[in-house]
Amino acid sequence: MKTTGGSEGRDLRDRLRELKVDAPDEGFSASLHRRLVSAGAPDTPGIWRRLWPSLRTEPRLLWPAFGIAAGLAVFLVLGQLHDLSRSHGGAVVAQFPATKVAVVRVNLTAEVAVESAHIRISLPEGLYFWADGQELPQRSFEWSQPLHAGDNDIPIAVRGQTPGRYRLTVSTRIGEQRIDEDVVLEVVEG
Amino acid sequence: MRVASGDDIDLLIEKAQDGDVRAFETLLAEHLPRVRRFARGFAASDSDADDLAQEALLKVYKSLRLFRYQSAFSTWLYAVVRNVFLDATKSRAGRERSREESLQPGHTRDLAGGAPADERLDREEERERLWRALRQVPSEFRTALVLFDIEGRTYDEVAAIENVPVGTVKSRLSRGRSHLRRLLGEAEEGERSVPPAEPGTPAVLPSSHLPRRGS
Repeated sequence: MKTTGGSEGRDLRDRLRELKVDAPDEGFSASLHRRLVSAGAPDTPGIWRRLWPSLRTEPRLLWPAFGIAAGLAVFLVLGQLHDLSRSHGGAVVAQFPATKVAVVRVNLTAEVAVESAHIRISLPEGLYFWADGQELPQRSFEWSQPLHAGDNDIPIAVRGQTPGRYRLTVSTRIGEQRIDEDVVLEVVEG
Repeated sequence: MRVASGDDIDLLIEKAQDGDVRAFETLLAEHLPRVRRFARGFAASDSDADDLAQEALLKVYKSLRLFRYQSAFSTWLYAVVRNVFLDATKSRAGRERSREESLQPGHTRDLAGGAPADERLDREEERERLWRALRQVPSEFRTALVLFDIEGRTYDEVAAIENVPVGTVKSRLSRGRSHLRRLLGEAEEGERSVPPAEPGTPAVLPSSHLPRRGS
C-alpha cells in the first residue's frame, strides 16, 4: 500500500471511519443500570458549585456587559504563615454601579500546590451574590478545594442595590494556617 | 431503552436530575455505543473499555445537577466523559487499563504466517490494529481524532466539547493524523521485516508493530 499526500489522508480517514461499529450490548446496559441505582441520586452541588459553572461558561456575557472587575489577591506563603489578617485599610478596590453585576476575581496565589484549602467569602448586608440571573440569599460561601502552585483565579459575581462602601472578606485556611483578607467595593449610582 | 428526542430531553434531564435512573438511561440511549467506542481509545481490552465507559457515565449522572442548559446536553455529556478519560490516563489504574496485552502465540503465528482467515476476522484485526495505534497517539490529539474522524462530529462540536477554539481542533487533528500515520507506517514496515514463523515457533511481535493483514 503506497499512497501519498491527500489520498493518504483520505485513506487514513476512511480507515478510521471503519471503527464506527457499535459493540453488542452483552450486558453493558444491565451492568450500568445496577451501578447507577447503587450510586444514588445525583449530587447536590454546593453553593459554590452553583456559581462556578455559570461564571465559567458566561464570561463573555458578564465581562463586556458590565465592564467592571475588582481584583483581590490573597497570597499564601506556606511555611511562613501564621494566623494573619490583612485589610486594605478602607481603600476602595473597585467601583461599580448599583443594579449592575460585577465580577470580583479573587486570586489565591500559592507557592506550592495545596491538597485542600478551605475558603470562605463573606459579604456585608447590602451586597449580594448573584447567580442564574438573581440575587442569592446566602451571605457567605465556604468550600474546600485544591490549589495549584501559582495563581488560582476564583471569579464571583456580586451586586449591590444601594450606593455605598462594602467590605468583602475572604478567609483561607490551610491546616492550622489562616489568612483573612478584606477588600472594599464601592457601589455608585448608575 | 428508547431514544429521547426534541422536547422530551428537557423533561428527561429534569427527571434524571431528581434521581430517576430510567430517565437518565433514556437520555443516554443513543450515546451508549459512542461512549463505549470513545473509551476504546483509552483502554486496551473491551472489558476495560466498558468499565471505563461506565465510570464516566456514572460521573455524568452524579454531576447531572451541574448541567445548566448552557450547551446541548450531548456536548456537556461528552465533555464530562472526555475529562474522566483524560483523568484516567493519569491514574495508575488508567495506565494499567491502557497497557497493551501481548499477543497469544497462536494468534501471532496466524498473523505472521498469513494463514487464511475470513473477511470478518480480517476486518476485526484491522480495527484492533488501528485502536492500538490510536491509543499511542497523545491524548489531546486522540480525543479529537475519535470525535471527528470516527464519530463524525463537526469542528464546532469538537471545539465545544474540548473547550478550545476551532483552530486548535484543526491543528490537533492534523498533528494526530500525522502521528497515527507514522505509527501505522512503522507497523507496516515491521510487517515487511518479520519473516513467517516456523510451525511451532511462537513469533513475538511488539504490540505497536502488528503486521497488517492483506497488504
